[in-house]
Formats: sequence, C-alpha cells, structure tokens
Amino acid sequence: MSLKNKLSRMKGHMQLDGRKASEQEQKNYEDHSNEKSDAKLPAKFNQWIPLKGKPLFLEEQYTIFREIHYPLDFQLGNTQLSELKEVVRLWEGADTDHPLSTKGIDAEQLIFFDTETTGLGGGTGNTIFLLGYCHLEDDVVKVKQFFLPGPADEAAMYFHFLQDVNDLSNLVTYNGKAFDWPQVKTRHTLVRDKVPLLPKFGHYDLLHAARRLWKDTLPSCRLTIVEKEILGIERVDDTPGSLAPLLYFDFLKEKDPKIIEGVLKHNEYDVLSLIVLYVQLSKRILNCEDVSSTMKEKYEIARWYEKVKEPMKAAEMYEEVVKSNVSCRDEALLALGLLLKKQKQRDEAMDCFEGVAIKENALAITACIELAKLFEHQFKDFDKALYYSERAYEQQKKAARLLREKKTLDDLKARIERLRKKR
Amino acid sequence: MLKKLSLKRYIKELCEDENVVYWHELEGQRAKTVPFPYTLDERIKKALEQRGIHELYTHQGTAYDLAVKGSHFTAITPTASGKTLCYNLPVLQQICEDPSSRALYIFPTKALAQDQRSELNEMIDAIGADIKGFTYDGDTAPNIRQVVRKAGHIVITNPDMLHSAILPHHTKWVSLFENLKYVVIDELHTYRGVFGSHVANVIRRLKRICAYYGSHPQFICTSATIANPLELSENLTGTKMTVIENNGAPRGRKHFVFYNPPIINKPLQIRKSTNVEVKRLASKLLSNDIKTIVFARSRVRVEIILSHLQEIVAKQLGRKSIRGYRGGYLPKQRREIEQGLRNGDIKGVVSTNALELGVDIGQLQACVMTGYPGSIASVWQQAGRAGRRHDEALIIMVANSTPIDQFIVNQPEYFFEATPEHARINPDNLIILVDHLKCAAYELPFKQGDLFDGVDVEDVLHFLTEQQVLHHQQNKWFWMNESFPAHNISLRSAAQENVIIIDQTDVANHQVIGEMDTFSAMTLLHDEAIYLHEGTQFQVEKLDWDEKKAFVREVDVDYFTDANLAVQLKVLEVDKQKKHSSCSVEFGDVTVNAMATIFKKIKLTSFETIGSGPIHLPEQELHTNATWIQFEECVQDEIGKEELEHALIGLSHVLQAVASVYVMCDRNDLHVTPQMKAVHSGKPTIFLYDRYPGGVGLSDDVYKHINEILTRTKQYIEACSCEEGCPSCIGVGSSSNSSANTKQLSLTLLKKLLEVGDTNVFKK
Repeated sequence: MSLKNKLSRMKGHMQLDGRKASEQEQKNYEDHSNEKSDAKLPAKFNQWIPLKGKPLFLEEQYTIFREIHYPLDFQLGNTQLSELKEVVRLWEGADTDHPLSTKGIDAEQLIFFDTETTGLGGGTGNTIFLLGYCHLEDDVVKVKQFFLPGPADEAAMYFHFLQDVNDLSNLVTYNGKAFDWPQVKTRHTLVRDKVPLLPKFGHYDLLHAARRLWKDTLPSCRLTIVEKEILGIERVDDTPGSLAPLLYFDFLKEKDPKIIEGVLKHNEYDVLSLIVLYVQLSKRILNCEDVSSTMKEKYEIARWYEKVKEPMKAAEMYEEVVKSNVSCRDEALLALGLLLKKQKQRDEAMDCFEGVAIKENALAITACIELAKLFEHQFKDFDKALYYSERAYEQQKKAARLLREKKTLDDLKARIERLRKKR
Repeated sequence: MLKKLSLKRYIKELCEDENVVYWHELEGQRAKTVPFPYTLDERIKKALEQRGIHELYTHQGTAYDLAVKGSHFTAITPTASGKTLCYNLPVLQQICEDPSSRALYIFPTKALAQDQRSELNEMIDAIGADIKGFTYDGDTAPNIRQVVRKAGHIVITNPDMLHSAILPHHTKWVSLFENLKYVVIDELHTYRGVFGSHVANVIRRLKRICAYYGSHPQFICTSATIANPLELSENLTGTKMTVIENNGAPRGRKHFVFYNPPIINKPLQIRKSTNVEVKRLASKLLSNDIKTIVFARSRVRVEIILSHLQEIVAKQLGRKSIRGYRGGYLPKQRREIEQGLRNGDIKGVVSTNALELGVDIGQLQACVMTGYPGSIASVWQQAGRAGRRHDEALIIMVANSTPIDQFIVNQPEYFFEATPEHARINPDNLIILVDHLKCAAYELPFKQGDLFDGVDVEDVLHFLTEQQVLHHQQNKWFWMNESFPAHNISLRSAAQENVIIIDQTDVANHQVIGEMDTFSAMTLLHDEAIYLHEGTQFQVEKLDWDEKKAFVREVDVDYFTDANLAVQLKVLEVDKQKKHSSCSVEFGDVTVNAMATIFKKIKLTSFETIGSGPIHLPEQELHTNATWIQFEECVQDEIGKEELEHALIGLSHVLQAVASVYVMCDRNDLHVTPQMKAVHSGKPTIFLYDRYPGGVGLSDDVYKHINEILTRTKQYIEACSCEEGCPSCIGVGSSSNSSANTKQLSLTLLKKLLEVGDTNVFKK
C-alpha cells in the first residue's frame, strides 16, 4: 500500500492541529507553489505600497520594512508623546536609583520593543514574524517594523533589524524579559551564521511595573486592559493579538498584505502605548503633581521603593497615604512604623503602631506585638509590654480559631510569661 | 532465644520441604579481569584504586577499548556486573582529556537517573577533576536548569524530558549539542513496543539536532539479557552496533527454587494462597537475619504483604527494618529506603517491579517472588537482586493457581532453557513517525532531500503541508502552527487521546486518579461501570466522551460490570500468507470497528447477572496490523457449526494469554477476536491485532512465530488438569447442550493449524 494512501487512511488517528483546509484554500495553496519560482520579486508585492512596506534584501531573502512617523504633539489616550522627554528629564533630576530610572540616558536611546509570533511559549519552533519598535529621533517618534514575508526569510529580517538598531542596551518591553527577548535569542541562534551577533541588552520590563501597581485593582494586567483603565486608550477596530498567528498563516498562503494589516497596526499601537505607559508609570513613581495617582498606587510605589532599599522615598510615600482615609491606610501606617523602627526612630514608630493597634483587624495584632517588643526591649516599660502582649494574644486567639495558626500564639504565650516574671 | 540459621542451613532445611517442586542450581563464576588500559588517565586510575578496584572485568575492558576506537556498542550486563563502568570510564576519560566534551545519559526513569548521578558524583569527587554531572528532569529547579544547560559535562535525563524539554529548546543547549561526544542509553531492554518506537524517533531527532550543531556522538547502550540486543540497539539508535557479551564479573552460586503451594481444594484445583506462603517463607528468612527482597505484582499486594511481615517481625527486628518500595512513593522516601538497604538498617524490602530496574540497593541474600512476574526477563532481573556479588543466594518463586504459573513450575525446563524474550520496536509506525516528524520540523526546518535518519519522509512532509501544519517555501518545510507538538505526544501511552478519570468523591476536591485509552474506555468507563482502581471500587457517574473525561465516585458494591464490545474486522490488504488444505495463517492491514453495546452487572460471589443496561457511545475505528488464522468450510462441516464457534472462542482465550507472553507485551496491547464469518472471506477466523493504530509489530511477531505460539498453546491446554475446559485455560466449559468436548475440539483445531507450518509460504 502506498504511503499516501496509508497517510490518508490513518489521518483520523493523528493529532493534526492544522485547520482543515477548505478546497478553495487548497487550490490557492497550490497556485502559490507554482508561483514561487521568481523568489526575487515578492508575489503581489505592489499591494505593500499602500501599507508603506518596502523590501530590504539579503542575498535571496528579503524582509518587509515599514517606517511610520508620529509628531511629538500626537495625543494617545491621556498622554502626549512629547511627555517622554519630560519624564526622562525628571528622572535625570531625581535623587533615586529606581529600576525604571533613565538617569544618564537620553530619551533617544530608549527602544520600545514588541514582537508578534506564531505561537505561545518558548520553544524553538515558535517563529517571530514581526519585530517592531519605536523610538524618539529628531523630535519625531519613529515606528519601525521588520516583517517576515516567509519563514525562509528569517536571516534577512534579523540582519536588517540588527543593522538598524545597534544599541539595545535600553530596551522597554511588556513581558519582554520572560518572552520576547528569549525568543529573539532562540530564533537568532538558528540564523546566527548569517547575521550580526545580538548586542548586549538592558531591560525595562513594564509588565513587572504594571503588576506592582495594579495587580489588585485591575482584572488582569494585559496591556489592552492597562491601556483602557489607566492610559485612557480605547482601541478602535483593533485586531486582537491572539489572532495574529492565524492571520499570519493565512497571509503565507495568500500573500495578500491586507490580511496582515491589522496585525501590523496592532503592533504599531503596542509600541506606541509602551511610551505612554512608561510616561504614566514614571510620573506616578516620581510623584508628579500632574497625574492623579490613587493612594493605592502610592502605597504600592512606597513598597517598591522599600524593596529597592530607598527607605526615605518609601517613607515619604507612606506618609501621604497615612494622611488619607483609604482602605490601605492601616497597611501603610504599619509599614511606615516598621520602616521607622528600622531607622531607629522609635518614638515615631511607636506612634504609627499605636495608630494601628487600636483597630480590630489582623494588622492590629502585628502592631501590638511590635509595641510589646518596643516597650519590653527599648523603653523597658513591662506593664505596657504586657498589656500589648495580652491584647495581641486575645485577638490572635480569635483569629487562630479560623486560621489554625499556632506558632504566633505560642510565641505570644512565651512572651507574656516572660513579661509577668520581669514585672 | 533460638539460634539463628545461616543461609546455608536454611537452604538445607528448604530442600526437604515437599512443596518445592523444582530445584535448580546455577554455578558461580570467578572474576575474569584485565589490567587497566595504559591510556587511562592517572587520576581515574587512582580514584578506582581508592574504591578497591585494581583491574577491570573483561567486559569493562572491551567496552573501554571499543569506545576509544570510536565504535558504538551495547554491553549485555546482568545485574551487579559493574555495568556503569562500561560507560563511565570512557566518558570520564574523554572529559579528562578534553574538558569541553559533553555526554548525555538517558535512563528510563527519574529514580534511576538520580541513583546514577550520586554514583557518578562519588566517582568524580574521587577523581578530583572539575567535572559536573547533573540530572535534568521535572524536579530540577529553574535556577539550576540554566547552569545545567551551559556547564553540565554530563547531563543525566530521561527520554520524556529529552522529547519535551530539551530537543524543542535546543537553542538553549548549544554548548551541549556542539560538543556531544557520547550518548549513553541504559536499560536498553525497557525500550520496546510503543514506548521503544517513540524513543527510537526521539533518538532520530537527537541525531538530527547534533548534526545541525556539527557533532556526531557515539552511542553506548547497556541491556539486560534479551534475545535480540543487537537488533534492538541498532533499531533504537539507527546506528551500527557491536555487542559486548564477555561478562567477567564474578557470580556467587544461586539456588533457584520453584515452590508450589499445596492443593487445598482438589475438585477445583485450588491451591493455598500465594500471599500466605510468601509471608511464611519471607518471615522465616527475615527472622534469621537473612536480607530478603519480596516481589509482588501489584501495589495493593505489596502493602498487604508488607503489613503482615512488619507485624510478624516487629518485636524481633523492629517495624522500620522492613519497608515497602513501589512506584507511588515520593522520591525522598525511596532515596531513604535505598540508603537504609545499603547501610544495613533495613533488612527486608517488599517491592513491585519498580525495583526491577538497576537501582543499586546493595547486597541481598534472598529473593521471594509472589507468582511469575510475567516474563522470563523479569524473573532474571528480579532474581538478580539476590546475591549481587560473591555469596551464595536463594531465589524462591512461589506459584499462583493461574495457568501460566502452573505451566512454568510444572515444566521448569521450558523456563531454564527458553531463550529470553525478543524486544521489538517499530520506529516506522506511521502514526508515531508522523508525531515525531512534527516535533522534528518544530525543532528545525526540513530541506528538500533531507532524510530522517535514513528514512525518506518527503511524502509525510507534503502531507503535513496539506494539513497546514507545515509551510513549504524555497525547498524547505517550516513549522507553521500555533501549537507546541511535543506537549501533545506522550512517549508512554499507546493511544494519542486518553480519557482522564476524575474522582469526585470529595466534592470540594476533585482529583485526577488515572487515564485510559479511548478504546479500553468504551468497555471499562461507560456510564454506570464499576471501575477498579488500586483495589478500590468506583462507579462511573458520567463519561463525557467529547471532553474525554470520566467522572467517578467511590462506592462499595458486591458486583462488577462487564461490557460487550461488538468488533468488526475488515481486511484491507494481505501482506503475508501460509496456506494449508483446511486452514491458513495470514498477516496484513485491517480496519477494526468497535462499538460497545450493553453491559451486565455481575455479582461478585456467585457470578450471576443481576442487571444490565445499554451503552451509548460512538463507534471507534482503528487501522492496524493483524495476524489471522482462518479455517476452510470443510472444518465446520467436520466439527459442526456450534461446536466450532465454542472452540474458536476457547482457543482465542488461550491464544491471547500465550501470544502476549510470547511477544513480550501487555495483555491489552494485543487483542484477539474470533469471528464465525469474517467479512472478507466469510470463513471462521481468529484475528490477533495490535491495539495501537498502525501496529507496532506485535502481530507481525505473532505471524513470524505462529508455530511456536500454537505449540505452546497446545501444551498449555493439554497441561491443564481440567476435563472440559476451565476458566484458567479455554474459559468456562461449553454451555451448549451438545455433547462435544470443547477442550478436545480446541486441540483438534490446533493440530490442524500446526500442520500449516512448512507448507507453501509466499510473501508479497
């Protein structure tokens, strides 16, 4: 029995994830296999002209290059692109080493980068078919895209992309650390003999920043949601990124750029909104007057500062939150108290803890324990220490019944007994 | 206090036991050695000497020489013959000479890989060179993975990991693939059937990636004794191999005892329970301080025997001195047990065949098997656990009442003279091949004219392009699909799509307790079926066929369910044929259409039917290979229609058991179906077909060895002491009112078949 017959007979047993080709599609496909002889002249190429796409060649291969300019006064959502220059200036003047700081870098050096791929996950076979980035140059924002017209043209795409951006040390992405960049490295490995080496790169991953600020308040931190909820960007007629692989597969069969137009547009907007997102994040972190950031955001930013060991900045932010009347006020107060305690500002810390200790919540227990420690070890006021220990014990007992957590309770018991003796 | 018996005394006592039906002594062997090769690195020599090794066994020496010459080889090594040196020596030598060299070790299981790593690292520490050996498996922490990829000299992994985590991410392993000198495949004999066919294709992909990065590694395999090590290793690696068989390791004398429990019910031929006898024998061994391992076939049995033994010897030795060892234990527990055995804290182990593979557990003196473990190779593997070095050892196999066990203990010469089983794989099974071509295309594009390790696959590539999985451009085929193909392909399961079994007994916490191939699920997981999982009864509440999920709940009932499967077989093409005047044996391609029709509820105690119901599931179609035995009309005229039907059913019953033992596969992998009027010929026929789409060579094997299988079947039926057939041979005796003896008729059919043998063989 011939292999062809066998294959079609056993088709039902195979996991073929390909979409079932309609007859029309089949035919189109075959038409193309006949056409591909003239590799130099891309099929249906004149259709790229309205999309501003032009071919860049590398030996037999080519990539489609698009460049679109946006003026600095272009308004996207709640932000003007010119504000990028402003925040870079602000970072320069700010006294901080925050991970998002661009101190020592010109606005022109920032590369806002995003890719489109044929699948999810990080395997070798997941092809990047579009490398897009934008950056500031000569007082305009230039979006540049390198598109893969067919899988055999990969070397051309990476070659021209790498020729174009020689400095990748200030890459700004959305989840690029975990996804886009490792995938670029993977695919680059496959064509490494034909293209320049990947330069050293540095990274600002805005997804991490977005998660820090909004993971509790937004349903998810997908870029489109952040755009809508925070940046005031409402995309019209947007092609969802999840459709990109299928549209690309269709494009490969039809070679009609119109099919992929939506994906190119999507990517163009993605890199532009990275600028907007970067501006808005920076302004919040730098506590600029002209953004109305919420207390929750301030609280999260304070925690971030604390994490990166900038306690003064953190304390400033916490204090602002403490003055307000929002739900995370007690958290901020407690955090501020702990921060002050670490700075050995014990009286100020005590004030903070007392502010929390009078409450009836889980934070109050921690505050009471902290007070007990302060009174026992620093102020040597054992009566007060005992008072707060017992208070903590009572509350913990209530909570423990629900949480089944015994350790804290045992620790408290030990503390109370010790204090009773000391008294 | 009673004086303890030594093993010698114990053996003497056992000699007199009347239930011992056969006693076989295997002579010991002195060590045969060669001096260290003069090229061997001084540091390695020193490290060996530190560990008390001053010479190499002959097979280790040969292995080293072949490796240095650049040959690929397979070393046949019984348990405890120092097989690890066969590969560790050349690999370590290579890395000592050139530290940029890399080696990849493949073990069939994670546990084995872990075990080998600790042994390897002890050796490396003794050498004192900067050599890094790492395991890379599902347990490897993400932060360590990067180190392994970049800096691991020796990467120890399993085929599943290679398939789904290493090869699809080869760009992260550049330094390994550029410098790969050796690929070590241990426990070669475990790569057979569907699993082996998958692994062979994983190796093809590995070779393809290596070639891409410019390396051409040497293959070193080690294997337990099987009939065809050369064939298997060449098929698995696609490489010309040399086989090393000059085992020079010393062996102590071994006493191999077949123990048949006494008959307690003469008319029904029921013997005393194996469990009871095993417990008695083992507790006596243990209480005499003889280190013993007990093998049982199922996890449940392990637990039962274990708890009894612990009770018996608790006072004397302490509960902790006897431990269980089975697949379900956590790695840490297993490590602890292995450690305890090695340092002597643990005196006895009760194990499933999880320990069959070469995990080193130190020296045991006696081995007790609860029943025949299913294959000759398994018996030898398990027996190899006792007496690993120079001392005398005792192996007791306690027989069950089942026909296979009885057959073996009553015809011991069959066992001791039989060639060990063949291990077969079929890497070119179309389904498996296509699966791995997808993975391979995902890893690297195919160029026009590229072969897949020698196989021309252009037709398949065109096919995959038509199916829109690949894209063809400039004489190359590129992966052009959203999915990650390796994730959907499991090396260990026969069917591609499995039904997941979900236990919803605990409403708040549904748990996946297992999976089953769709073909078997039709009869075992239909609505209302009673499904047994590790001895617990579950009722299927709902089988969601579209989603391939079976929802079950724990129950306690006194019946089981038995479903009818209506099977239709269509012969598509006859490839081979052996003809005789009244019957013939043929092999070819078939389509199997199966539909579950009804099920019966059968009372556990009395086997009476207490209820039934319909099954509504769509028909399943399977394209596969089959061997079939076909009788001419004259046989029916001679015997009678109804009688022939009973004889066919009876014969199928036995054939299934014997054939699956013979081709070394699981009972479920080879199905047997009798048909009074086969669709293609209208003649009475028995079909034996591969359960896996496209076939994995089982029925082909049956065809090749049909004479031996039929002869064995005949002996088997004759050896059964029943009169007219019993559940342990041809099934329940004929329920018809005809007076003919079905057992005799089955034998008549067999005699006719056995005449086929030499006549008129033609091949297409």
